[in-house]
Amino acid sequence: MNTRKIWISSLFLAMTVISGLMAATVFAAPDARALLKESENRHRTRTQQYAGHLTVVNKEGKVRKKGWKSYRQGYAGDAKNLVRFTEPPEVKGVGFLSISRPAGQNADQWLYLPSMKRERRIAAQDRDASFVGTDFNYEDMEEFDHEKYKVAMQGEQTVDGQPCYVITAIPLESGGRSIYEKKILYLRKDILYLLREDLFRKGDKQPSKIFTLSDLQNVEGHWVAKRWEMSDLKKGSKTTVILKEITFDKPQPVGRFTLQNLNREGGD
Amino acid sequence: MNFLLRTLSLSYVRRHLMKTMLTLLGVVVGVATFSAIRSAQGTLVKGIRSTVDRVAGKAHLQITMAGGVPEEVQEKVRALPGIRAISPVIEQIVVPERGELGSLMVIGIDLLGDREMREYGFEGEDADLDDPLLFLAQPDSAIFTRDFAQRAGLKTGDTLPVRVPTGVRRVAARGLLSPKGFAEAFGGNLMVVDVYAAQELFGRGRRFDRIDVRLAEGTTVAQGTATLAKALGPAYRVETPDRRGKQMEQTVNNFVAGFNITSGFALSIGTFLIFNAFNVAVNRRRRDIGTLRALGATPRQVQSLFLMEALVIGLIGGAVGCLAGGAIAEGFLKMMGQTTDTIYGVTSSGGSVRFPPGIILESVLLGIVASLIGAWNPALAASRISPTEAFAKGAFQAKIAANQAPRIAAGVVALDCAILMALFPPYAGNPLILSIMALGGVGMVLLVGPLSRLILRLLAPLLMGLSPVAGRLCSDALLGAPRRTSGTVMAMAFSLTFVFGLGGYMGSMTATMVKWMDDVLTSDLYVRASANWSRPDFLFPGTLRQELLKVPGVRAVESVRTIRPFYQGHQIVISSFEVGPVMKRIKYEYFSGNEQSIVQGVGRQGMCFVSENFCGRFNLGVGQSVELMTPTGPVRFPIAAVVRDYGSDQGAIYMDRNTYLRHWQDDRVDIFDVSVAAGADVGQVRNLMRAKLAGKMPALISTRQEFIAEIKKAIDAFHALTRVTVFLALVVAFLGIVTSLLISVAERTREIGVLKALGAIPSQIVRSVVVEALVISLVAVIVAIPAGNLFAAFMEGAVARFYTGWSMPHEYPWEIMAQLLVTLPFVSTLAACIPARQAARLKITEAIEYE
Repeated sequence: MNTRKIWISSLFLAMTVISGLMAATVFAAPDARALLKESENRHRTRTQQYAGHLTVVNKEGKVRKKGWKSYRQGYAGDAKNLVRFTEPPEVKGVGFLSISRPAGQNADQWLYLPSMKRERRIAAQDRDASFVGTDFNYEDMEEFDHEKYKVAMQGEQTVDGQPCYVITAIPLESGGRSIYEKKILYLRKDILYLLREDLFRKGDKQPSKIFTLSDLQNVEGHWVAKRWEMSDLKKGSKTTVILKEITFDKPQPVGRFTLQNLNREGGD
Repeated sequence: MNFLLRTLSLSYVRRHLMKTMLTLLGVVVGVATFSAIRSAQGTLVKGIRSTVDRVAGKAHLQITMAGGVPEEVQEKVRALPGIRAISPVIEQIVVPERGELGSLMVIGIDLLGDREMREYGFEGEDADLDDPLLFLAQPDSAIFTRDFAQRAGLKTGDTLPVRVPTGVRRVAARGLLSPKGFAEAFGGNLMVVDVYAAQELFGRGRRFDRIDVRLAEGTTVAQGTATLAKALGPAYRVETPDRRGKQMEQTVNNFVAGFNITSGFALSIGTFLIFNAFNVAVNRRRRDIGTLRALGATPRQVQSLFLMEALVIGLIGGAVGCLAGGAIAEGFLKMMGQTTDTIYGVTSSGGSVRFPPGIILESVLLGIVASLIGAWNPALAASRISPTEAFAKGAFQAKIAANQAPRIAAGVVALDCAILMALFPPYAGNPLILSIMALGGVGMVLLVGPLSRLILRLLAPLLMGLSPVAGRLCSDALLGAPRRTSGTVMAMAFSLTFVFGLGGYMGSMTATMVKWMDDVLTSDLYVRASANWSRPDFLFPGTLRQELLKVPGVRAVESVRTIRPFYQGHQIVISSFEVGPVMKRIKYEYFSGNEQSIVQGVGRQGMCFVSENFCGRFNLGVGQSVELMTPTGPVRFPIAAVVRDYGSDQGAIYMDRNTYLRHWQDDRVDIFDVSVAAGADVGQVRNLMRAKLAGKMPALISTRQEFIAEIKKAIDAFHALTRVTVFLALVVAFLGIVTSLLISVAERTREIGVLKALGAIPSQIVRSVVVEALVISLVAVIVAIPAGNLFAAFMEGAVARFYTGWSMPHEYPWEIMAQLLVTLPFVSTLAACIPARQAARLKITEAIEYE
């Protein structure tokens, strides 16, 4: 009997210790998925539009500038994006439409060329191609949707003096075709806003590109980074986008995010 | 042996330098023709293969379809398992306004995703091309190779005017490619444009020429092919770039095969020259041979001596022939390239002719073999000369010619067998053609000698009657040296047979086609967008017909669309037009069916009619159906009629335009046949049409006569190289006459001396040599007329049937005959010039002492 009592007491003790440890872990490091969900909920807006000023500086220091107007409806997994270039004159009118699709499928993307008066579809194989000569590629132009990634909390780190959660996101096999093997996300702790992404191409141990978001401002009650910077560490080039004339939740015309509108001369 | 070569052979060569040189020249011309054709063919094929391979890049498979691959197929293919990347391609050859830069291969590709398929090396400033948008946003954008840009003096941003179907367009160099991999295709004369801009530029509509496919890792080519074939259906061809390259290579090789036969002819005529020269050399050196034999030389050593001489001549002739071949090969390459481009739509990068070691070795060996074959019999005869026989004066001349009956009988049997095999073929294909040619050749070799002697005997009284002195001298000289005479006549007769045969074949083909065109091409005007007959540079939209009908003076317009799909391994032609109105103005020769069956069956019931060669090649006729792979699946078309038609050498199928539109869903048009209203001026209507289409679409508008003349020009271009090789064969024959006459004069030196001593004046001697040349030509012509006729009939019959399935009525080449009868006397007199002068200058004392 004594032996049995001792055995039961030991088991109870072990269970208590394990439960305690598990609880401590949960409270010490919040769930990555939950944080990303919370971030999406906090920053989701019905629509967003802005004027972007884009500067590409290559390794040799050569600078190329472009300007665009961007319209977005929805957010993350249900986002629709239309970008219309405004300058320089040789690319004016060129349009780009991206429509997110449910998990398991890549976004539909089209590019419209006024000279050809027709759109061309961006195929999955082309997602690695440079988006209009910037350091972004077509995959980067999709809204980040955590549902398409397996996420895990990696720790915490300070970015630009701001404490951040560090989350690893690995594209799910079922999440569509990705050119990346892994992304490391830096989520500002206080407002759960994404400040940086380290992007790892397949087979790379070091990130090949780093995407940073800075100059955070609260516009119409929504946090927004007014400066984006994509650095290609392999090519040694850098693309900066400065966001101006930002407006949120402005109703978008019906049919703005359609192929007909994309193909319309001067259609925004 | 070295000693003998240096003393006996070299001293003979020194004494008969001119003859040796002419014999050598015979080998040189033969080998030069062969090596030029082989190297031009090699360069052409290598250029095609290299372009196909380099342009294919990392593509494992290529998808094509007759008439072009519709755009929507891209998405269908992308979605298939095992596909890593796909890339649409349009290929086109254009010419810069500065013609000296050479043709440019335009490759339309989708730069957005093409890097999965091909490697591009952009450097420095061209890093801008990492931004495809700048390139794509400007429709005049092009990328050139650095090598081409250097030659054209182009920098990034400069423009280059090029001729495209819509006229002259200035294209801007937006970037330069480093000279590696893909950029080396088409010899570096490459212009890369956006595939969708290329669609617009070359009237492809919403179609591509092909789709390149790169398979995912772990997917085999067989698996990929099976997946694609299953998903796309039988109307599409899925093949590896290598196989596509091989098919193009096969097309070129088939086209060039004929020229190899021609160069073989030139070389065999050269062999006769060698035979002749060595025969004479053996006779002239009988005493030397006798001395050698008396000093202990074995027959084998004597034979080896002559064969060694032949070897040296073959070696030198082969080497010099190679060099000469190099000089003419560029011209051959140009002619071959133009023909394969115009007729077959297969273009090579051209470039300079390359002489790989293999061809050099082959050519030299061929020279040696031809030389040894030519010298074999004389060398054998030399080895059989006994010392006593050699020293006995006049013994050789007194030798009675061997009985000719078995030789004549064997010759007749061989020739008869060849004729019978041509008329009643026991088997088919290349073996039949080769057997007939071999038997015919053997028959001719055996019969020409006796026949030429018979003709000479018959001609002798006539010659003596016409010119008692020169005629007798000439007859005596020719009949007194039967071997030399028959050798020269044989070389000449072979050349002329070749000329009559091929000339007759070419003439018959042209005449047949002209007659067919007269019956079929009956519209007043032909509006087409492309100068190339088999690879359209541009296709009209079907809607243009209505526009053309509105032009004042136009009565009717019919739309002709032609595609070239593969049917049971053969690239046939499927042509469609509005059958009802077309049948009212053209007349066919029917093998089965009639006009009514075409109007009813083809025009109204969706049937088809086929060409005679299609019917013969595939054993399909009226009452049967032909199953064709259409984009909507396999469809069986009942055959309503079989007609005489020369639209394709592999077979042609004709159907109504509505039937074609229904099954192929392709409304584009290659040619509009336009008939003008009664009383309307054709020239004026043409001007109105030109004005209507100017600046909108390319339009080559030809009148009926011009259109027929253009097709004839293409046929002539096809025959251009054959004419050159025939000419070279005649050159060798001409050399034969000169050599033969030089030998004749040398052999008759003593005789000429005696004649001079007896009072013969130089002009009589000259006349006798000239008459000898004329008689050789005449005898050769008399032999060649029936032989050439047989050869032409063989070419028009068995050969044409095998390669094309066409039957052509035989037309004797009277035109060539007339040309030869006018030219040959001049040429023969020219050939006699040097020997005659040599004979006239002989000094009596030296000549009488001559042995």
